[in-house]
Amino acid sequence: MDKLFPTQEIGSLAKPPWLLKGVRGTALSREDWADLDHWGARLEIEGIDELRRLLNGGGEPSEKTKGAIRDWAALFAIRLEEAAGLDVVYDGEARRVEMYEYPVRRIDGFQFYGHVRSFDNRYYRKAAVVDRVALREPFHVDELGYVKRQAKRPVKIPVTGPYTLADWSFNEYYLRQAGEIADLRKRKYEAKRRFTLDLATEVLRPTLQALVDVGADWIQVDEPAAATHPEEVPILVEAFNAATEGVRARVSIHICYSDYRALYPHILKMKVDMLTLEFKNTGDYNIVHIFKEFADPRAIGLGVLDVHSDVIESPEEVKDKILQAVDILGRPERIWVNPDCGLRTRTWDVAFAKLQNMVEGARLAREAVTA
Amino acid sequence: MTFAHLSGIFPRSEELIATSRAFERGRLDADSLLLQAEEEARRLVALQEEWGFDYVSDGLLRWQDLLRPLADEVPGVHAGPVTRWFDNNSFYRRPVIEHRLRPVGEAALRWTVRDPLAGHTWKAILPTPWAFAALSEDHAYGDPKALLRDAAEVLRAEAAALAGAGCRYIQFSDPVLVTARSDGNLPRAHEALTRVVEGLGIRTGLYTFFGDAAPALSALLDAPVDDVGFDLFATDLDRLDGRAGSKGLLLGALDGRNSLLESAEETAATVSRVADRLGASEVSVLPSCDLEFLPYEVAVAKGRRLAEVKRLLR
Repeated sequence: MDKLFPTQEIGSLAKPPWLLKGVRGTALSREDWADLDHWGARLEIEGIDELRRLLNGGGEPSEKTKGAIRDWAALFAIRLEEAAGLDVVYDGEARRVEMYEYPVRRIDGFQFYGHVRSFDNRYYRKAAVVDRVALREPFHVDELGYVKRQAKRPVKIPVTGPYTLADWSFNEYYLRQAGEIADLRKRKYEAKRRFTLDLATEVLRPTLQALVDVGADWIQVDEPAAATHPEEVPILVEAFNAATEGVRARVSIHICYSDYRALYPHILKMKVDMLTLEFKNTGDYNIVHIFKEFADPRAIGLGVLDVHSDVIESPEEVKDKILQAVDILGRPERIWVNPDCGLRTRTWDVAFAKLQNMVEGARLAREAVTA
Repeated sequence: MTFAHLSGIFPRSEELIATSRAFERGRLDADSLLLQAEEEARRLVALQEEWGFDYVSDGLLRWQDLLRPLADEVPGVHAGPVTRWFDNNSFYRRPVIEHRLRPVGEAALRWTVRDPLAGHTWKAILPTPWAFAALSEDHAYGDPKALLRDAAEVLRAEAAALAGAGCRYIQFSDPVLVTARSDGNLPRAHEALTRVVEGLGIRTGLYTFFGDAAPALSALLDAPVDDVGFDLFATDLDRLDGRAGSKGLLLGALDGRNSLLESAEETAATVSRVADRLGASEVSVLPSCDLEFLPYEVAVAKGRRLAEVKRLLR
């Protein structure tokens, strides 16, 4: 981007109720229809009667109808991000269940046993790797094609990274393979390494290549688990480099809610163009100092929106955060601006207001720096 | 002598998960949920009896996390922000301490499914005062010593109530001591635990997990309890150094965080090696942590495997 402080999204948006109910074949409530009409008008989306027809079908929708409803949801999300003024957009991950189960269901070697608790009465389905992983077919390819056709702005596609896929799975196959290592801790580490590297080379790399083949210019690898086990950061880095080897696109990594210090110095060996990180939630700018301390030369995606709060950050607050980072780093051209993470836990009203203010805050910062 | 028992929260069955969700969404009343939890606890107690476990547990099926009964029941404390539970992809609600702690005595007991335990030799699990204080958010004290002292009083009352209700073993769980070590922690943690178990009159254990116990083992073995334990999957076994003396060892021998079913023979050999190295005459084999990180059926298979390990060690 030519301009300073370009803005980008990070990933998921909330799924509209008409999408969730529409693909389940459940009747929409009056509020759901109103929500659809409200955003359809606000985002100036044309041909919405076709969507209404799909949602009014009654009964279990066909796979074709479900796909069409998901296309519409993706279009709404693209337009929302464009209307908010973002420089780089995507589709809010409208057609992905979530970031773990969606890819895992497209990889051979995994088996789902049942639910495990996330917290309280929230559970998720966790898979075990029971055989060597193999890619069934590259995923996100059609999704990216649709976004590329519809978007009026540059596009960045998020893809879950190999380390997070491994960390969030049970490891059976690779642990058995590493059975020759007597020490249980060392065996576990080596099994994790083999698992993650296989995901990187056998699954992620061909997927990323396929995405580049259909026009991906920029791929964001999501690794929320990156710093969960500080001793495994070398695995994260090795797998990232293996996954992106030969991939001819800009590649960034997104890491959130982590102890960023645990990533250094190993992460300096990661061949990545940009690190997009969470700043607003932590309330401090330690990571910017860490960037400076380790003379990290790469671009930084500065998280300026708390995605877990409905409080709308003001443009002035965003501007101040950006300028604070400029003061520390001294290189404004390295700074991109984004939310801490995906905004899927916020309503569209809140997400839109936050993104608009983020864009305006970036403009104010640009004005201040170039004045 | 070898014993076997569970070391934490047991996962809920798919059926109980569905019921819990229905309750949360207002589609089911509290009595129906409790009834189902009781049925499931009854099945779990029967399984533990079948496996030959020496102490049975209700699986803490009603607990949302290790600290929740205290967060919910102790006046001036509430369940606060969702916070990562050590290095897991799971979370707990951090207790927020708004006012000075006051013992209530029956927080844990109230959340225990008691009927299925009647007539059995049962164990209970509590956090240590050290873990409770370290994993909470203090808005009331501003003085860690005073907080720890009062936390010990709260836990002392809990332990006494459990013992009074027929509990025969209390395991004090503490992942903090082996994941956030610093000099001087252990004597203070032990001092607080001493107050908790003073005059209790039942068997007690300190169980650590998620972290390497090797560097602190000698000091851990000074804990004022009958048994001391650690997680074999997080501990550097080659660096273990210490003498168990009269203490029993609690060894986290099956990985509670991975679904792979370990070989009973290899596990028994590892346990023997550790017991010999530390000169322990009494050993309990446990899952390395709560089994709630696993789906229900896998956890049941681990329980069964633990029984095999115990048989091999006899």
